[in-house]
Amino acid sequence: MDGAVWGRAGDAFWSAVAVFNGFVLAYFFILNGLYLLHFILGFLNLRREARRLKALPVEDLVDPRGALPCTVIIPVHNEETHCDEVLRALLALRYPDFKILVVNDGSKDATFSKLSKIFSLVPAARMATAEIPTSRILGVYRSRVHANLWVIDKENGGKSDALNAGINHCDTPLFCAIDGDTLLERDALTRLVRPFLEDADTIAVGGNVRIVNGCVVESGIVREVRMPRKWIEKLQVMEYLRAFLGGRVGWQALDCTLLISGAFGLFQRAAVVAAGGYSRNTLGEDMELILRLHRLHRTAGHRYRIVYVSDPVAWTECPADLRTLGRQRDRWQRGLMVTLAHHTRMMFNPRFGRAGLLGYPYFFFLEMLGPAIEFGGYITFAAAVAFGQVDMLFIAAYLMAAIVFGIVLSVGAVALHEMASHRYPRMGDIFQLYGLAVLENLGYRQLSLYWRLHGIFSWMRGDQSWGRMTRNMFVPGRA
Amino acid sequence: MNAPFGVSSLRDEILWAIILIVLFLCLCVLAIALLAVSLHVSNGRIASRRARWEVVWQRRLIEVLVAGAPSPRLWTTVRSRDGLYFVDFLLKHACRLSGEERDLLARLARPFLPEVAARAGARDPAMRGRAIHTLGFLDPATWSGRVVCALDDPAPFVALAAARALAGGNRPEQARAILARIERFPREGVNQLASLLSRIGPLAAPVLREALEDRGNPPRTRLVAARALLYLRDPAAGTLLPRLLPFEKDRDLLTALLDLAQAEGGGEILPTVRRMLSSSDPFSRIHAVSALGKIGGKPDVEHLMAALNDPSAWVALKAARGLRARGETDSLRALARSGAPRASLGRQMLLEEVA
Repeated sequence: MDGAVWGRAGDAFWSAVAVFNGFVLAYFFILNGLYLLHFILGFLNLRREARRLKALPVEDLVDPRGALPCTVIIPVHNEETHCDEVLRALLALRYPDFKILVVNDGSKDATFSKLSKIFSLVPAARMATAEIPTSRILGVYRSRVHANLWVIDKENGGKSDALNAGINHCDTPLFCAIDGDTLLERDALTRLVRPFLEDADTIAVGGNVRIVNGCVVESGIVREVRMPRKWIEKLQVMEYLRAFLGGRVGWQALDCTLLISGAFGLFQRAAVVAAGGYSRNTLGEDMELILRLHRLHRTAGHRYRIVYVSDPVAWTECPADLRTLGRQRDRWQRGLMVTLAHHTRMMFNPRFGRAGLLGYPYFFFLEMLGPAIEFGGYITFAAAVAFGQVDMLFIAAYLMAAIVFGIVLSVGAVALHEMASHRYPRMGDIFQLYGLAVLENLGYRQLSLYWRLHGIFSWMRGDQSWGRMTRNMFVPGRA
Repeated sequence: MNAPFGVSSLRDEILWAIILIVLFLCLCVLAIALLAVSLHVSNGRIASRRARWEVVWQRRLIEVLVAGAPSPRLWTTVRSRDGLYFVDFLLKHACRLSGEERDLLARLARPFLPEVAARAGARDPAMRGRAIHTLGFLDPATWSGRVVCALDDPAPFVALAAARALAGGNRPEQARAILARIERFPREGVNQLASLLSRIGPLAAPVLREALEDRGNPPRTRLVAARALLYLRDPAAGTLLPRLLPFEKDRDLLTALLDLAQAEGGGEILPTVRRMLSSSDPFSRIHAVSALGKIGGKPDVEHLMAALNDPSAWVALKAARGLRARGETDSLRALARSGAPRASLGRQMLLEEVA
């Protein structure tokens, strides 16, 4: 009798495992199928944009007389290593009318004293143009050497808080939010402002963020694009490339941009102030702002446009060791979860257009819940194989959908990206990327899965910390 | 594992379908990857070849510019398959030149422009736009008819490329053609359209003034004309203001006229500008205060001081800038020392002056 009960229980257990394995197989197939669709749409969009840009000479894009004044806001916290290099690059931007507003967010190192010395800062006054709550402002300074460079010194409040302090003191119609280690190409702002000139309803534009590790940098300018040396960095280059084509450009092709990188985005000041600025309650403040802008404008019935353009380029450093990378991915996952939790009302809600019907559900089911589903799938699949509960057909199909399909997408992303953008001049780099596209799915993706899972558990524990980023690759002129 | 043609269940069918689809995608991606490599190689070869030719063309171009006349030596270096690339090379340099030097480059490009013109009829709007821009910029005299026709192209992108090309030609009659089609660009920024028109130069001003004064024109056309006159710093535009400003109801046009008043206005419009200080619309008040700061008289200092307490911080900022421009340092100093909410504005103005 007991044996029969155990037998039935065992059958029921393995039936449940089989159902779950089937569900995970379907999940992999659908997820990768959606990526494939994004890649194709993204590639077609890139080609179309490239052809349009050939008819629009960059020098012609922004006339000094019609240029929209812009403020570049840079929150910095303990960035003494290369804050000056970043600022020198910004001061060399080719744009007719812009200011730079550095917000020193309670740095404990020599960031402020270094800036003060190099740029001859003197105390100044600057009227607040908005009243978004922030932590205390300690002082406002301007450079005696560069009339368009200002520094706000404040108590530490986090990145969102620092950005809001910058917005409060921004007196131009547009502001560009970048990270403290972002290097902008000289014409990046000119190219990023184009959508605002083409359509007056534009309220936010995201640009292309690329990895600077391995590149030759001189005076804040990337002179030569090269692949990094470390495997961990190379894999991130591969990842960014895939996320760029399948993520940003693909979603832009669907007119459903839900994410503008905090490292490089241009916003209409009035729209962000009306939305209340960046949220201080989330680590994913960049995505949260965009979702909020979608919601507010849709609810109010206002015409608006949030876009991603691929031609303006900003360079940023990626983590060079596993520990820092793990912390970053953990933080990103937490940020995603908190952000999505704030906007559950958007789920399948036609009131919010494609953002509610396509974008939000995608991020919720596939990006947020994805790590748990994938991890569970690996466990149950391995158990089922170990106990002989699946046939070879299912094993083949599972591996095809989970691993091979992923490799296909990564290789395809490299190929399509090369055909559309020609970013890597050396053939060796192309082949390296192809190799990485295979390797990425055999270990790195699983490691990334572990970090994202860790992020889910951290979120459940209420962890709001940022973690530390070790910077060591930003050496001028070094390959 | 069952063979695909003898599958025994729906489950097996689905699993086989997944396997075959992924295998098919593998083959497609392999083909695309090989294609990408081959394109990289061939594009690299083409780019190297063209870079070598560009060095040669650069040298010849300098010789031509110094001599002041086209040289057959330069044309003989251009192979038929590189004709369009040569035109792009010339266009790149022509953008930085003007007058006779640009005309010289246009003459160099002339033999190759029919090939560009063929692309002006392409299906792809981006290709049409690029061709139209090239023709209109490099050789407006020969191709102006084609470019003007492109203003009515079904694709607004092409029409805008045509407008840009015409505006770069310094021919005032084109301003009328562009203004007549402003409504084709409903989403384009007004400042962008105005700066495009202003590139035609001061000779376009009479056409712009006429468009502004004609109340039968759509408000957006008049708005673009007003902004373009501002960018041109047209002194005669100021004479229109007494006739237009007191009666204008469109908010955007009103603010554009106030901006024009800042640059070219005279005393006769001051009563109208002062009345706008009490407008319920903060945008009107901002521009009215800015105008008073530039063209107001001594009595207007009082109005500017009052505007420092305007509910809108932007109005107060403009008022403070106006006071500083008028040298009212004592008033600003008094504001800075006071405990008023806008005291920091006084300090800001004083510090900006010192800087």
